[in-house]
Amino acid sequence: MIAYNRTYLTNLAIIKKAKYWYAKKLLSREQFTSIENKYIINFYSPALFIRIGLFIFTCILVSAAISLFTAFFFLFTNNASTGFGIFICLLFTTGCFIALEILIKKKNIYCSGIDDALLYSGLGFLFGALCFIFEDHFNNSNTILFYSILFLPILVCAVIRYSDKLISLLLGICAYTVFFLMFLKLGEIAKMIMPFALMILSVSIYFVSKKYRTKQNLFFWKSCMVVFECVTLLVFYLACNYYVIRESSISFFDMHLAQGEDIPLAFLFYILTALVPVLYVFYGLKRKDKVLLWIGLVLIAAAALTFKYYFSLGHPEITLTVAGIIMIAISYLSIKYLKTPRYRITFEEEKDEDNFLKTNAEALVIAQSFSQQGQSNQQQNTTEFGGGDFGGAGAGSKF
Amino acid sequence: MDAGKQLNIDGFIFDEQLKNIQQFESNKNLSVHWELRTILYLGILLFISGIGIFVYLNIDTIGHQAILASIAIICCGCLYYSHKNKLPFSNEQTKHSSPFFDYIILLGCLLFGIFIGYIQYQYSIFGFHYGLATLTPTLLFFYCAYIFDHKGILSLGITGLAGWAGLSVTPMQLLEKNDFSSTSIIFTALTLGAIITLFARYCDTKNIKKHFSFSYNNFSANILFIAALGALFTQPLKLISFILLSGICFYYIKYAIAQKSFLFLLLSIIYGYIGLTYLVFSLLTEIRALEEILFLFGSLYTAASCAGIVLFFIFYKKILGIKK
Repeated sequence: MIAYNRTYLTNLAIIKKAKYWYAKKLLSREQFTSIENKYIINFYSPALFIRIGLFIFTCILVSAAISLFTAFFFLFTNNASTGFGIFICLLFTTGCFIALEILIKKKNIYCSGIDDALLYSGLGFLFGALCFIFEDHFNNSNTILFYSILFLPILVCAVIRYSDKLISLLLGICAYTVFFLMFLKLGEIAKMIMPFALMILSVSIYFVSKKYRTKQNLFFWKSCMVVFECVTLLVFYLACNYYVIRESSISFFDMHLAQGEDIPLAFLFYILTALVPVLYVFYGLKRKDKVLLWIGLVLIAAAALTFKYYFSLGHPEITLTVAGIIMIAISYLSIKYLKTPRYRITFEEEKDEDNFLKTNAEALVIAQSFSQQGQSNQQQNTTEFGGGDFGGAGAGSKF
Repeated sequence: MDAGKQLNIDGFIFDEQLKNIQQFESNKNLSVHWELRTILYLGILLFISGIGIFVYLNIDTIGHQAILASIAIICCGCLYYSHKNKLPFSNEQTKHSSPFFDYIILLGCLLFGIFIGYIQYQYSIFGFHYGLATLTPTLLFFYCAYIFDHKGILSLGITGLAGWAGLSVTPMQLLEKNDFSSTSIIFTALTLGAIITLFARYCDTKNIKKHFSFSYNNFSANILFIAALGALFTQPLKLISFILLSGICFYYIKYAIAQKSFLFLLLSIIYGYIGLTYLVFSLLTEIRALEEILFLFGSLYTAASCAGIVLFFIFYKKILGIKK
């Protein structure tokens, strides 16, 4: 199952919650310090910029290693073949994954850039090897479907083992590709019901993932579930957006629309194009679900663009100005309206728990160092916020 | 996984507290602060662009003077409002109670810049003294940045200053502006960077607006490093350029350690690494040897240096002297 240390992952979540409750003054400082000292996190997970740096340099390191290896090989033999490519790819796949496992087990890296880079390059090499192996075996019409089916189980394994968000996204896309291309094989009927099939699939995945998100034993894959939710919400909308359906029927299903002709059920799709984003936002607000809310907001813009595309007034400047006025008005009125919280929605800024801790860091550090004297055998890096001042330097001016 | 229950089982919080926490979690308000602000900004952006296009399309009927006059009126209004409501000057960081205050100053300053640019473009009021056209808004920006304690306007001012310096060296060759291959540009950039660095250092020691030091140093570090790298890439006498680059790296690494700033450490390392790699590879190409061996050496260098940098990232806290 998951590669990372389960205790540390659990402690990470507990500490995060405790920080939040402490910031909300639901826990006393003594309680918070004792909690921090009890739930040890030994992960090496640096701040964002370092993570990016580590990621880039690990990637360069891997590519330098592969070029070194290839150069070394070419010094002795001077012929390149597919077999050699397969050999190199498989060798580096094994190398990457072994390095990843060792670093996770021994060095406890987690979200550190190194593990991301090793995971992605390992998977990349594996896919490269598969492509080399099956290069000649398949005709063109089924290539994408075949490779998607081939990659699917590998991606599933990677998500289960490393619970990575980007891989989850790839898995979602891959799964939808398989579904789409398999469904197309049904022939004429598939073209008619494709949007509805995709919508039904998305709805079912969404609710299943929503249901299991809170499950105890799926706790480590919570972030992957959120990614799946985003993907399904987006696909659901794409499957009922008028523009997408019209354009894809023309390019994918060879539909020929004469002048003034419209796709079947155009009216229904117009309604869905407008209604779905509004429903997303409404339920996002009602269920206090930020994922739903944000996707809804983005999709409202998409819906507006869709309608603009087909019912253009021919004056972009007027459209822009009016859209700007409407947006300013909506936000201004909402800000006024939500000055006092209504329906458990508020304009008040959610105080970031790390922010709160930074301002109170001094008191905490004192409390921390006193309590640590008692437990001198403890590892040094129990806390994370000691190095927090780097974040302040990164976020410079308001631009 | 329920953190609250776990904490309760492990004896860190009492039952009463757990109940409080659970109640709080289920009655929590949803904050739509950033959503609404994003919509507001996007709305303003769309509105301004719409108006801009509208004016552009109808310039014949509206006329330049009307536009200039309206820009001037809004600009004066903004600056007047900010002056009336400003806080007394202080060498420390100040925070105005109104959230819109900062944006109004910013709007005023941006409009002033647009006004000068417009009037110069349309009526060539400064003639060929392009330097003057950049210097006037720059001076206003610096004034406003210090009076109103506004970091954003300070960045505008620094950028304007750089533009002015670049322009006054080669007033007629605007196209060459960002080309770091000409010696004069490199020298200007180095001088400007050095002056800004020294100024920031002086302000730091005198305790004048210490929080501005980041903006100054961020700008000067980048311009110094880019100029030094430009010199290394394009000029003869590579060794002198490399020594210069190492000197700048040394200064900023020291600065980073003093300030415990990761950003400056990272900047020095990255720019220094680029310079070093360039030097190594240009030395490698000088040596006439078998191609494969050169390639081998190159890969070896890349692999080893990357491993070194990964190690650096892991141990940067020790370099900066930050306790874990």
